Amino acid sequence: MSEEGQEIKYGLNDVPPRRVLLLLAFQQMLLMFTAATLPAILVREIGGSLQQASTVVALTMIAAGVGSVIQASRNRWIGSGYLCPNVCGPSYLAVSMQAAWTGGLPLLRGMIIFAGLVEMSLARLIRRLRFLFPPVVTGLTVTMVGVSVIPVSVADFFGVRYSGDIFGWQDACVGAVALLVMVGANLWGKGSVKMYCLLLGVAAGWLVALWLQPDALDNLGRIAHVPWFSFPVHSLEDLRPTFSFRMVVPFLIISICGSLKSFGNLIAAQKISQPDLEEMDMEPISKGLLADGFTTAMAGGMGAMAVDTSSSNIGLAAATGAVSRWIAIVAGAAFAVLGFTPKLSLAIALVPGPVVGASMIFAVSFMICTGLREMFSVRFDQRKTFAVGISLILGLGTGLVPDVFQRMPHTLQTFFADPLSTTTILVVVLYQVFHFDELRAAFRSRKG
Amino acid sequence: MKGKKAGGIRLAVTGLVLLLILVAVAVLPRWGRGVSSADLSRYDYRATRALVAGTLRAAGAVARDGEGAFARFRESPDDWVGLDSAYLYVYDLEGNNLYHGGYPQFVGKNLQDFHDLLGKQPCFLIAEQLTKQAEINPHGWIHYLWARPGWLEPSWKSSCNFLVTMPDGRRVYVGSGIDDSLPEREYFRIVVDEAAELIKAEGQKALARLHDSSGPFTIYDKGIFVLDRKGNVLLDPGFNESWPRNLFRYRDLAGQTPWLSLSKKLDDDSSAWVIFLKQKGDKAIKEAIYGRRAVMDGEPVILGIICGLPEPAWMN
Repeated sequence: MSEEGQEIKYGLNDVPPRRVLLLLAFQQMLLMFTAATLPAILVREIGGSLQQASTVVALTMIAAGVGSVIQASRNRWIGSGYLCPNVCGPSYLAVSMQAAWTGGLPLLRGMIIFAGLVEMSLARLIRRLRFLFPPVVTGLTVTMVGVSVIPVSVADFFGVRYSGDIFGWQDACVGAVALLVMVGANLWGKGSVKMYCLLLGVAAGWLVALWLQPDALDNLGRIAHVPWFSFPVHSLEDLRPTFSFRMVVPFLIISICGSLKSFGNLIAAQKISQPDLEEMDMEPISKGLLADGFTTAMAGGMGAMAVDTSSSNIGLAAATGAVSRWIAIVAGAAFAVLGFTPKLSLAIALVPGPVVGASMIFAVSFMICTGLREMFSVRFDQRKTFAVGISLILGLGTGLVPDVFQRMPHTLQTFFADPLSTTTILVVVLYQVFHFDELRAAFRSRKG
Repeated sequence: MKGKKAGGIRLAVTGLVLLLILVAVAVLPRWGRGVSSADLSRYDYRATRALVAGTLRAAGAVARDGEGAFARFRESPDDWVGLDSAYLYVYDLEGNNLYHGGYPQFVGKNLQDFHDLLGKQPCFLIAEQLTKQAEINPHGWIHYLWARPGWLEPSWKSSCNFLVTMPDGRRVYVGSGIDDSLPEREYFRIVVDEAAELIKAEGQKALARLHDSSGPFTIYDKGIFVLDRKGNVLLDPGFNESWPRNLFRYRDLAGQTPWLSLSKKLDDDSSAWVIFLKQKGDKAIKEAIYGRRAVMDGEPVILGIICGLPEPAWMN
């Protein structure tokens, strides 16, 4: 059993039958697509052309696909060996935009390579810093990874793309049907129905969207005009990186936050895949972080956007009990191939927004609860209460009252950028501060 | 028995997914090509798309049933545009009101001379757009200051309008608008494209009309810039008299030179968008410049307008 009431159908090293493997990989791939539009948003925000946008999207898909395969592979040097796929990293969006504003796509590439190298060096360090991550800290980090997906998932679920726009009842219906089918199939379904609950929900939501929304039908019409095969890099100019010392601090901070997020994801993946482990095994987590950093650097080198491990996909694995790393390998390989086939990738990218939102809500529910359970698995005293409480209040405050934090000096603002990074940094620091006397006593007694 | 049932479910799931992919890739694209609502894709906001689609439907009803459609508008106003503050209105081209969903007391009155705070005459502007600018402005957009029913202060309102001929032969326009609306990039595209046509036709004399805030060229408190190809300002929306400044030297918050970038883009294309970053209060916000090439009295010039951009909902 991976979780309370969740049976593992395909364990970490199990190879599911071919047809099952393909369907489970397809299901994971659908979730990986949820972040595939981020590079297009970034390029559009900086006024890039449609061709630049499609190039960055395709290259990011290839990088994320290859990264997912590396992450799931087992060898001496790199990769956690868990189902923990890569997607385009939403946490990198704000700083990526800042870099792209300042020096265009070449600077973005250079700074992503830098961020990847930072993550790789942190991976080696994190093994020695285990004392910084007791269950309370890792549990809160995993919870916040899930919480960080809330804005995107809720906006998508209700089909509201831009702030100030109206709410559409059709979107709410599409999202609700998709979510109900996913949850229903997961709760009351058995065998295949339970295992393919996300796929069934997506299919049901998409059919309702085709019925209720003329746009959904129109969008499908675009597929006909897109080629089957296209090589994403059109000139060597697409790969040229540059570097700026002014961007070092924001990228350093975001790469630390990215590492912490992946750390949380890898812990969640470990808990789901190896529920019988009594203590955290740092070896695969460190190798997983190395893979994450390497993939980020590789993405920068390829001219893609930064990639990150995906919490939704781990949540889906927990929900279906299919945690086999082979699913991630097949999904990753297929995702990379789709980067070269615009027709198929567009077909999958056209999954209606509310269905995407429903998929994220479904998957992230598991992520949040996994984190909460981890956090409360230890006895809570007042020190932990304050460490968690203050971190949560100030972290969530960055999202609830952003104006307050925007008035801070610039150097401080980078530490209070968003709920995930703020909460994570604060809980790591405060936990140690509030346990300082205990640590000193332990140190003295060891010395004595 | 159990195995048979599981096999059946597996087959059903696989079949459903394959069917969906097949339909998506092969069959539906052919249907999609014929759908006429594709031109709504020029709008970013769903509210705008709903407004245009609903008004177009109402215009169809007036063209078919004449004044008979008004009773249906009154009975079920939400069935047409379906936006909170939006209502339908119908005028003839002389400004006589035939139907008004927001201010019923206007029915039967002539509002041709009615003007807003800036001096814009909505009825006059609509008739001008529908009869002279239909190619550049196919949905008949005009923008003016207007007090929403029940509100104290006026706010920017954007209205789309469609010209129809009723069964009795009268030519009327059917329109509806969004109060306190979200500015679409399309609105700014229309304004600059029309300005380029005016400059081409009237040369330097057009500058006064472009600068007149009661005309169609000032929207959402933004006006049109006209520059020579070296970046020197010939018309500045912020000032009544142009004072010498060169916009190619303007640097945004990220140190970029957006007007110079626009000029470079316009070397290859007749129109272009450039995005830049500016400080607003404590925040850095992004805005866009839409620009196009034009010829004024034989000299090449650049026309441009600054507009805001939609923010993804989740970024807040």
